[in-house]
Order: sequence, then structure tokens, then C-alpha cells
Amino acid sequence: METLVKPELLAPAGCMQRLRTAFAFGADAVYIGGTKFSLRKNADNFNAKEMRQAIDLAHSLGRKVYVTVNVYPLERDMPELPTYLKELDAIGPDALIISDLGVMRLAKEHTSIPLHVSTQASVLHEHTANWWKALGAKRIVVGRELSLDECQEIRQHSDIEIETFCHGSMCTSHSGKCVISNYTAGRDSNRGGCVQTCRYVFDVHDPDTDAVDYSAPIMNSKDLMSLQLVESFIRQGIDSLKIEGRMKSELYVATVVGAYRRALDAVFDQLQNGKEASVDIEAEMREIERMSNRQFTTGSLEERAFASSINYDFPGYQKSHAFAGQVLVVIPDEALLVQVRHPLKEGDQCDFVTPSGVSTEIRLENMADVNGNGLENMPPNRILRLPFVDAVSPLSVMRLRLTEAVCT
Amino acid sequence: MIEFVTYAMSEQDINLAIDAGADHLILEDSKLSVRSYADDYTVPGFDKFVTLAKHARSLKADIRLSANIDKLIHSRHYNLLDAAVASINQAEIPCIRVQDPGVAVYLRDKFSGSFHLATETGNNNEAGAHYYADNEIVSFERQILSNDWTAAAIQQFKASTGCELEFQVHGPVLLQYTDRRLMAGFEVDKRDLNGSADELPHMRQRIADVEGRAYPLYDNPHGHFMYASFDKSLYKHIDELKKCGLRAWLFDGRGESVEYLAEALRAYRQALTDGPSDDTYAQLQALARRNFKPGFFIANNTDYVFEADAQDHAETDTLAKVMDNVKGTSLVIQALEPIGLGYYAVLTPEGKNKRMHIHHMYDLAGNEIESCDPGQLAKINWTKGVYADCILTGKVEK
Repeated sequence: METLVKPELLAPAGCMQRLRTAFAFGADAVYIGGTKFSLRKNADNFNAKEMRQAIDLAHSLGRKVYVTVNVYPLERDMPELPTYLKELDAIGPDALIISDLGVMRLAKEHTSIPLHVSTQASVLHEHTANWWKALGAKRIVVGRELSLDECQEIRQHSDIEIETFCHGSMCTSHSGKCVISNYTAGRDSNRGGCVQTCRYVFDVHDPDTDAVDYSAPIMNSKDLMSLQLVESFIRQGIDSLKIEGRMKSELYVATVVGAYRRALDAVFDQLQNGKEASVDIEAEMREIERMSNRQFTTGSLEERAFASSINYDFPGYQKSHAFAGQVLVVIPDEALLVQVRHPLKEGDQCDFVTPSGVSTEIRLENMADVNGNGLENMPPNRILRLPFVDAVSPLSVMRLRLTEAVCT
Repeated sequence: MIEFVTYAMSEQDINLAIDAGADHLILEDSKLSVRSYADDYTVPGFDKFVTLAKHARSLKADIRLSANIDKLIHSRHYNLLDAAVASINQAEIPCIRVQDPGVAVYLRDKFSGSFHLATETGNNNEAGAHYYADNEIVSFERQILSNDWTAAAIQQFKASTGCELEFQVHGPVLLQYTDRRLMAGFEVDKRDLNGSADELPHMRQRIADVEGRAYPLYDNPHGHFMYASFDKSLYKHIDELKKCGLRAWLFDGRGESVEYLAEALRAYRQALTDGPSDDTYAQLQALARRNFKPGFFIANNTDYVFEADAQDHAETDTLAKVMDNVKGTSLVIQALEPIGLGYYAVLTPEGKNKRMHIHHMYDLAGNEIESCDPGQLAKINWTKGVYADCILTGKVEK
């Protein structure tokens, strides 16, 4: 029997609450951004104290935290970098995710933290992988243009860990090579400011006549989903599966991490131990499809991405459920306290998605504020008290069923 | 002497470039040059390198030559690399320009010349440039700086660099490059044609209108490319450019008229000694399809404004966050540090400073407590002006 290794499941954590959520739903590791030198300036991100707390929590659970330092800094950014790297070295994350060779050089000089090479570096074959390895990288996050077969080739010819994106929003362009945002919005794509101009509808003109040939969001990539390829990821020896989305909600983190956790565990058990797969992949995919999305593609994982990977007729994000809130506290046999993220009213149909994978439907009744005062409506950013529901645990997420599937 | 560098994909290009004063030609073949306009994707082999090199040297014996291999390579392209390097060696071309350092690693045992690193590699800072130059695996003799560099930053760089620096001074600016054929894909999708990304015709050119600005688009078998709505031109800033101490200036006229490139080469050569002239600039502009701008050469202020928020977050010491506000009755906080009764400084989401007195505290089951541990929630007395998303930043005196 072939020896297989279960890939690490690596989740995004834009803030502490999403970090807790990712671990509760089964992530082996999370990646987070500091307040500097990270590519998601609009995420909440972590200052030094928050980072320490995140790492302490992760290590107490036997999990890992990787910190992104994945910008391509300009010369003017560089003087601050050594101090920041020394600070990170003292905090002690399990890896730094870097893209830029200058950052790598300084990280080697000022830290002893293992280095992962970001997808921003567009590693597409074993010679580039081996080059980074020789410079001291422990892992590469391969370019999203690679197929699974190509990942396996790297695996066969390189003694370096391989991480690949398995889910989430996709840059249409080669990551790290795109500066549309810099030139259209004054926000630097490769220093954390990307405004995703690529998602716009473009009027596409004939250059000779200036007539508009068509108007379409021609660069609007569908979202990556590869739950159905989990067996291939395992067989081809991918070390880590990365979920995109540091700016996405707790619902997204819970749903996607939970689905991939169950798929990985069940498929691995089947391959390793010959057990019958105990997961319904198609049902898990349907759960993911309920959340806001741009439709799904497997990108280049199976073959070079082409027309079907772009959502040329994008009417808006599709979803049948909205993020209603997250359970903060369970008072056994008495109440659930939910932090509300969407306006709710008496009679709304909701369901809870729990870390154990149980989905429990409820109709909102007997709503109250945190002090037990009854109410019929609850705005976002408040704490809602609901009657106790069996099997719902802290960090479970609550979804609101929309009366009809919507595009937003 | 500053070297004038430009691309050439045909004998006509070579004639024109040498006549206009180019010192260094980057020879192109579409199969491995991502945005060559040569349109020779289906011509087998790379004999072209031999023919073009011979032709160039017949016109100017000391012309410097490079071969362009700036495609982002997959393993399926190794056979193309092998064929290309055989012809490059036969042509005695001493330099290969790459975007992917791994290509240089692949070729280092097959090619004894030097490697130049293309601008798309993202050479944004001096530490990175030095590491590429001093690299123990494969070193790069020359690096083409990214277009994000300002004159001031380059001028500081020159004194300490260990490798040659090149910079694009004139021509269209590439903004985006994808392996996906976005325009070809749209047309396949809409017309329900058969075909894959590899098999569709070679070249499409369009203009994308983004908020009233026109961005050239280009689609070829390597993928899709978008260019800036202006052409970069540093002609008016030639005095600043001269102070940068660059080894080479890159002129990119690919996709433009023959006059566009030739006149640019001549104009900059003249301006090196005589300084820029308004008339010449106007003549250059008349040959261009887009307005000229210096790009980020004078200033690069991208994201300065937004970095202040991050700095505030980095320096803010958060003890607890307010999660709920029942007006006149209670607040709920989540502690990041141990929180007890007492007086606290509060920062609102709008940046206003407040203070509050916590004199009662309960767990969420309603039991009275005197302190709250990190990660836990506590219900406390209500304070006017404090609401969800406010943070407690420190304990203060009464």
C-alpha cells in the first residue's frame, strides 16, 4: 500500500475571531497578516500583542500560525523592515510567507523563522522551486497557473514542501505581476492595496474604429473550488491546502474549513485504511455554494484555465444564505448568545452550522437582547439571546435563509 | 556610456533600431517571449536567433545582443528552452533575458553567457537586487528595475549596487499578464466556438475603457495583457534620468509604429548632450497613440494615506473590545487582557477618546464577577458614548 500523508489544511484568519473559528472548524494552521508588509491592508490584521495571543492559542491546540510578509516593498519601505522582522522573531510564528528576495534576505538575517515562498512569486516548475529551496525556503506556495500533475512533477524533483490554493477568490493575472490597481486607483497591488479593478465591466473597443465590440467583466475570475479533487491532492503528495479569504466572514471560514476538513479526513481514511468514504462531496459543495460567490471553477488544477474560468456574465455575487451571526456563549439548557451580523426579525428562518458538522434549522422566536428583554427585530453588531438549541456550541455560525437566491 | 536597449523581432526592426542609435538589441521569438509581436508561434525551431544575430552584426559589428526568454515557463516548455538555447549558443548571443529565475537555473549548464532579469520580476528594492546579483545559485549580471522606482530612490541606489541596472524610459507600460486568454475566451464563450486556450488564433488587440481612460489590451497564445492608459516617457526628465547612474535605458516600441521607436531613440540620444526640447517632445507625442507621462518616476505615493491606519492599529494597545450596547442598561465586552473593575480609556471607531468607569461586571449567564479573562465576555454597566466596536485601550486613574 502506498504511504500517503494527509495535507495540512491552512485557513485564512483576518482577525482573532476568524482564527478561533478556523481552528474550531478543523484548520491545522492559519495564516495571518501583521499591521505592516502584508497584502491585505483592509483586513483587521494583528498587531504584536494580538499576534502573540493568536500564536499562544494555536500552539495550545497543537496548531500553527504563519505570518504574511508577502509584499514587494519599495525602497522607502525597507528601513522599517528589520525592526519588524526582529519583532516577529521574538513573537515566534511557525513561518513567514514572503515573496520578495529582499525580504527573504532580511528575514534570514534577522530571524530564525522558517520561510514559505508566496504564490506571488509565481513558482511554476522544479527549477524555480529548487532555487528558492537552495536560498533557504522551507515551502513554496505554487503559482495558481499550475495543474495538479505539474505540482506532482515538482514534488518528484524537489525536496521542498508544496502548498497549493484549493479554494477561494482568484487573481486572474499572475499573482505578483499585476499592477492594474497601482495605475487605475493609486493603490499598490503588491503592497497590500489592491482594489480589484480587474473585476470591473470593461467596454472593449475596436482600436481601429473605436466602436464598442462588447462590454463585459472580461477579467472576472470565478472562485476556485476543488473539494472534488481532494483525493488527487492527497495522492500527489501536496503538503498543504490553502484556503483564500482573509477578508471574508466567519461564515465563510466555518463553512469552507469544515467542508475541506471532513473531505480530507474521510478521503484520506478511505485511501489509507480502505474504509468507505463517509463524506458526501457533492453535498458539501452545495453547502459552500449557498454562500456569496462568483460561481466556481477548478482554475488550472486540471487543465489550463480558459473561458469557463471567467464569469463573463456576472450579475453579482450569488447566495441563498447570508451570514446572520456567530454563537459567542452557550448557557446550557437556557440560552444562546449570538453576535448578530445581519438584520434579523422574528420569524426568520435560520440554521446553525456547528464545528461538528451538524446543521440545525430554527425559526427565530423568543428573541431577546443580552439582558433578556424581548424584541422583534435585531440590528447588526448586537448580541441576540435565543432559546437554547441542542448540539449548538460556541463559535457555531448562524445563517439566514434568504427568501430567494439573490445576487448582490 | 549609457546603453540604449530595445527589442527586435525581424531584420526590419534591426535595421531601424541600429540606424536610430540602439546599442543593444533584445532578439525575440514569440514562442518564448510573452509579448512579442513577431507572430511566429508556429514556426518550428529558433534558427531565427542565428539569422537575426548575423544580420545585426553585419550592420554593426559591436552591437550587443540578448535573447528574450521572459515567458513564465512550465515544465512542458523545457523542450522549447533546449531548442532555443542551442540556437542562442550557435548565434553566440552572450546574454539571455529572463523573468523567472528558475529559467536561468535550468539553462546555467547549457549556456555560458550572462543572465539579465526582466522588469516583470518585480525588482523593487536594493536588498532584493543585491541578492539577485550575489546569488550563490545563479547570479544576474543586470537587472531591469520595476516601473515603481522613483528617480530619488534610483539615485540613492547607484552608489552601492554590484550589478548593472537598466530602466524602461520610453514606451507602453505593462500592467497585467495572465496565462488565461481573456478576450479569446470571451469570444469562444459568446460564439460557442470550439477551441482551447492553446489553439486559438494568435493575436487580438482591443482597448478597454475604464472610467473614461483607454487601456490597450492584447491577447496571444501566452495569455492576456493590459497596458497603462499612457505611455511612459522620461524624455522631459532626462536630467534626472542622467543622475540615476543607470547602465542602460530601455525603449519598448513593440506594437507601435516603426517611427515611434526610431524617433524616440534619436530624441533621447540627442537630449543626452543637448537636453530635452519641447519641439522634439511634441514630435514624439505626435507619433504616439497615448499621452506621455513619467509614471512613478517623479513620485510614487501609492498607499501612503492608507498606511497611517495600519500604524494606528500597530500602536494601539487593546485591552478589550465592546461587542454590544443596550442603551441605558448594559455593554458587553470581550477581553484581550484581564479586565477588572475600574476606570478605562476608550477609543471609538471614529477615533475619539473617551473614558469609562466599570463598576459592575457579570458573566453572560448573569453571575456577578469582578474580573474577566482574555477571550471571555462580560456584561458591564452602560456608559454614554461607548458602543459596539469601541475598544478599551488602557486603565486610567479615577
